Amino acid sequence: MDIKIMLLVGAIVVVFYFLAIYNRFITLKNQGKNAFSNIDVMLRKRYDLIPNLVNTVKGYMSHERAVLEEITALRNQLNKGGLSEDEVVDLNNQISKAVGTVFVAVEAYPDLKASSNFLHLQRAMAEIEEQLSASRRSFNMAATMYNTLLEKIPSNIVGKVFGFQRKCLFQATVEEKQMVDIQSALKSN
Amino acid sequence: MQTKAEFINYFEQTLSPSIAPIENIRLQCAKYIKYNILLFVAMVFIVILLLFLDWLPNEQVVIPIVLVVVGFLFAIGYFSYRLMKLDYKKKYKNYLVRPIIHFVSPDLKYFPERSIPEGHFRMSRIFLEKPNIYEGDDFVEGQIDQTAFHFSEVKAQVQRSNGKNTTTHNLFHGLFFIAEFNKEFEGSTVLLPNKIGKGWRFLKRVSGLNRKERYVEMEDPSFNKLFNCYSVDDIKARYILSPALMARITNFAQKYPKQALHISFVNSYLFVAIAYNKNLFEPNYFKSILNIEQALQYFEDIQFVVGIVEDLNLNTRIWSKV
Repeated sequence: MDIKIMLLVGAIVVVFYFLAIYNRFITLKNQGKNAFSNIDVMLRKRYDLIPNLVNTVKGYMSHERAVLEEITALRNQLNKGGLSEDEVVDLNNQISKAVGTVFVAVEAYPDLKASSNFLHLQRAMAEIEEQLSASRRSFNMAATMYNTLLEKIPSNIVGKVFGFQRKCLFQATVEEKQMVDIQSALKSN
Repeated sequence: MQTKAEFINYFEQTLSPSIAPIENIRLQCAKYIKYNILLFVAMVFIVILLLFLDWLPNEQVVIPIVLVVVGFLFAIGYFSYRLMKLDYKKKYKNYLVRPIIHFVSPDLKYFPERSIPEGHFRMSRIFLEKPNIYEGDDFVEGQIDQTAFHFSEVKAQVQRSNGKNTTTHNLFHGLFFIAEFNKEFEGSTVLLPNKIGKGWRFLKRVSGLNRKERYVEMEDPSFNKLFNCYSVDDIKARYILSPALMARITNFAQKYPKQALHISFVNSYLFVAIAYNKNLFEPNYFKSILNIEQALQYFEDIQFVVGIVEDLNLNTRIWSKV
């Protein structure tokens, strides 16, 4: 085969390969965006539920007033708007942690634990947390694959040429860490 | 859950004496089968003799008479065998299979002749081809705590034609299980056995091009080693498949490595297709009904299916679905 044709075929293959890598970057970026917008929807749902939660539990929980105030403050920060992706990620982690603390503290208040209003709220919050967790995991998966592409050769060349930046991951919440424990426990059995 | 030792004790103390009379029917069935085989061989032999030997006087009258008599005897034998077989099968299912099912859980209801409807089988979106032949039996339904479920044996076959010949292929043969899932969702997420291996994302994506669900890479490597996940929405897939559920499914699949598991989650329902290469809960006329091995196998098969509810923790209702 003529050397020119071989070079041409080689060049076409390389161009298509780089195009495929570029498209993979865009797909992962959009998958992450989609997950992030879903997180936003869930955060808003949780945002609406937070006043209910605080009002329901504050009559019972005299020792956890600081946590309740922290939740309200975090909620207000979310309401300000103009936050970067990383700031929303950070706020999300803090709210999950604080709400988790409230639900753990409820164990010490049997009357509150039995109240139908609280049970309903707990179910609604658990649902939102589960949805949030799914969106976070989706975001993290896309971000991990995206970051891996950014580091691997030769996809890192495409990343540098088009100025793609590393993505920050969501941290695992206490519940998610517990789930990992369940996983290892199951494996050891 | 009842243990194997408890079942052996139950079989020996209670079940065995109650099924002993049915053993006579089986012996008679087996005798009829042997009798029919002998009669058939004799018939063939007589026909060959009549056709190839030229010693009969008035053969135009004798041959048809002999053929009719032998055929009549064979027909009587065959229909008697069919009637007895039906009777035995009915008794086998009612006196052996039913008590075993009730032993696993007294709340289970058993319908030997019913099966999972074809519509439900297709709703699972596990097998996309429409079966040309669909049959099943041994339908069981029940509820464990808040989770209602049902299952039955299903045999679904497709016929493919290349223009000249039509061949029949098994789409699925085994137990098909349906249960209410503990989370509310719409859309479909399907878990197919991973035959491609570790990695090969591109191949996994391509192999799912015939379905509306797209390949979703999950975070658990041991889960990915066993299953390829296809879903209409990757966030929904992760909502359904929490890390804990993925670990449970992995554990469940590893516990029964011989069974090829296909799992799907469609519109708040869980579907599990467990492939078997044998007919389930069917009598063997040449094996004693009093043989504990067969009964033990049924007990383990039923417990395996009912165990899905507990193994996958379907009774945890902490989310919006009550």
